[in-house]
Amino acid sequence: MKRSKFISASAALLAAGLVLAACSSGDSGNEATDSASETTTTEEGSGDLSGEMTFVSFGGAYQDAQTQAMVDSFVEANPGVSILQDGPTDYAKISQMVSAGNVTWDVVDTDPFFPIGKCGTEAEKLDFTIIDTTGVIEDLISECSVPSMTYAYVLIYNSEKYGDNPPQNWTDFFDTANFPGTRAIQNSAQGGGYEIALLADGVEPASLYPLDYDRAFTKLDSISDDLIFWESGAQSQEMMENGEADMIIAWNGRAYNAAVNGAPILPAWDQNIVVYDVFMVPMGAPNKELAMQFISNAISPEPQGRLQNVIPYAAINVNAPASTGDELFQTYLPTTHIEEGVIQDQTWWAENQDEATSKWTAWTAG
Amino acid sequence: MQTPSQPQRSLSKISFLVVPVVVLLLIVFAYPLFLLMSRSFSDADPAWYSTYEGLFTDSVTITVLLRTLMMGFIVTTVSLILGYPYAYLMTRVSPTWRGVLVAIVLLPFWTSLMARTFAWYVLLQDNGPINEFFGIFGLGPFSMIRTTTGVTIGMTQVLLPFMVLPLYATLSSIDPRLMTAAMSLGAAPRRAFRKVFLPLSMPGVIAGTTLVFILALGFFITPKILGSPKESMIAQLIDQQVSRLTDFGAAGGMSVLLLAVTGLLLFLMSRFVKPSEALGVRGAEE
Repeated sequence: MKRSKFISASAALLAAGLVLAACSSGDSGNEATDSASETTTTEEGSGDLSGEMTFVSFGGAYQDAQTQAMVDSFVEANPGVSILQDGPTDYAKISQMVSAGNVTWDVVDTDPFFPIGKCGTEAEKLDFTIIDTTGVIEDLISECSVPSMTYAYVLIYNSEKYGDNPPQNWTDFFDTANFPGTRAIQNSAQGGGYEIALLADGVEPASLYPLDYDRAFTKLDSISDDLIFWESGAQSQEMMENGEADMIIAWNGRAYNAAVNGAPILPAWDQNIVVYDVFMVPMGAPNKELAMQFISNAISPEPQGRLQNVIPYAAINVNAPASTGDELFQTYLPTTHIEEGVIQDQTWWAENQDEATSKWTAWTAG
Repeated sequence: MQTPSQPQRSLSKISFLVVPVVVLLLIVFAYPLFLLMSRSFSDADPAWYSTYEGLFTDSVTITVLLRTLMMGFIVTTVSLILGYPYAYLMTRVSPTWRGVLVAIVLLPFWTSLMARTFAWYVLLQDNGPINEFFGIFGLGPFSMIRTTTGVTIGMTQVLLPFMVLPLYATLSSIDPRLMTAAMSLGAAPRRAFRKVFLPLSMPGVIAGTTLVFILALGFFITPKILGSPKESMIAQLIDQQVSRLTDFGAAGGMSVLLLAVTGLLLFLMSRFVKPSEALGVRGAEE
């Protein structure tokens, strides 16, 4: 009995294996749904996709890291595929391409507000029969976008200046009496300024949105004598390295770069503002299906795991292997700090971008 | 001996050479500009003038536009004060030294704008090299970064050649014997300068100041990095409209405003001096 059961079980497994092998061979580019149905989370594509597509991201170290983690392996697993890269991501360009009917970009790494706000008009609705979102953090998925990685706006302080009594949260950031010094925030409406002001003023994370602009500005005005602004990532890194700012709200990636360069800084992760990039497909992209295949691969555990080994941005797939970065790297990696963070509501931001931006500009530049 | 018809014939022979350049400019420059400007009307909602109504009633746009004009004025004045003596010096030295002086003032062109601006960013810091230098004499520290002063320094370095070169072109065409003649007739050097040299140099002054002012209006990176948000100029607002909000209508409207101001200035300049004269170009009549 046991032996026959063993034989029938083996025969069944063998048959299944043969069926799988038969299905995945002799595939044409149009049979995308076929190959997707048997793609497991450990396979990187069925191996016989073909065609050309253009991948666009923000350039620099980030795009290099994405090339290492997601692009190269996809091309290796699918020798018939060639991926052109372009950049940097430019929303005006995407808008113009779509309205001219001449789209040359297939997958674009963007901020979430763009595809969420332009879903169905300038961003294609994603085909979730092709894109496998198993393990991807649900809050970060929208009709027209899936997350590509998360990063954070985190409180970075000068460890030499504050020594034994460092600022640990946003309340401390706004407390100039107990924590004197220059503070720096990004000159951008979506740069976390609103959120941290409200959080410091006692607003519960769950009640942050819709943002109370006046309350935020009142709180920000309370430290206006000690407040300076950074415009670019490079400038924020410079501020951390030359001590221009004693406390700064910066991208964790830039803080890591500064720390590597020897800046005397440390992060305080409590209530960090969790932000993320997304993959989107511009409306009318020439290689839509291949684009969706690429995205499906890029958000799967292995490539996500690889990404958070080479650059301190967090994987968005909970099944991704833990990062192998060294101690300094891990200090600035947001993966384990998403729990204590506050996720910036990208849907609200997509809808209220204009108003929030014009109010911010009026407050800073007017 | 030239008959009246000859100059015209030779002109028409070569005038067709201008056509390719004009076509290129029309396609690459005039047409996109026209598209952008028409967006400010076609995107307008509900009325065709809504974009402009919005811009003129928005206190931020007006503040930033006035600030841009003021920065242009400041930078132009500083450039003139620095540029005039420099251009004058260039007319007085030997050709070798003149070459050196030209190279010095043109040096900014040969380096990357980003590198230059970040260099100033580091230099102008409160605890940076410039303040350290002043500190040796017990002066300062002067607040330069994130102030109008810092932005002026950065912009002047870039725009100085545009003041010096037109000025030099005009100053070098002034016959030095005129000054000698004035002094031989009894004028003190200072009076001779005021009554003879200065008026003759006006075309160059007007050309230089107009050029620098117009260019200064469009500055973007320098005020962004060297200034605080309170030093924001109009180009930064336009960039925000295009890059972030993809509101081409508003961007077009602001661009039209900027273009209108520029056009007005050029028109005013043409009232005082022929552009060809100002740039030191010898007219056919000579």
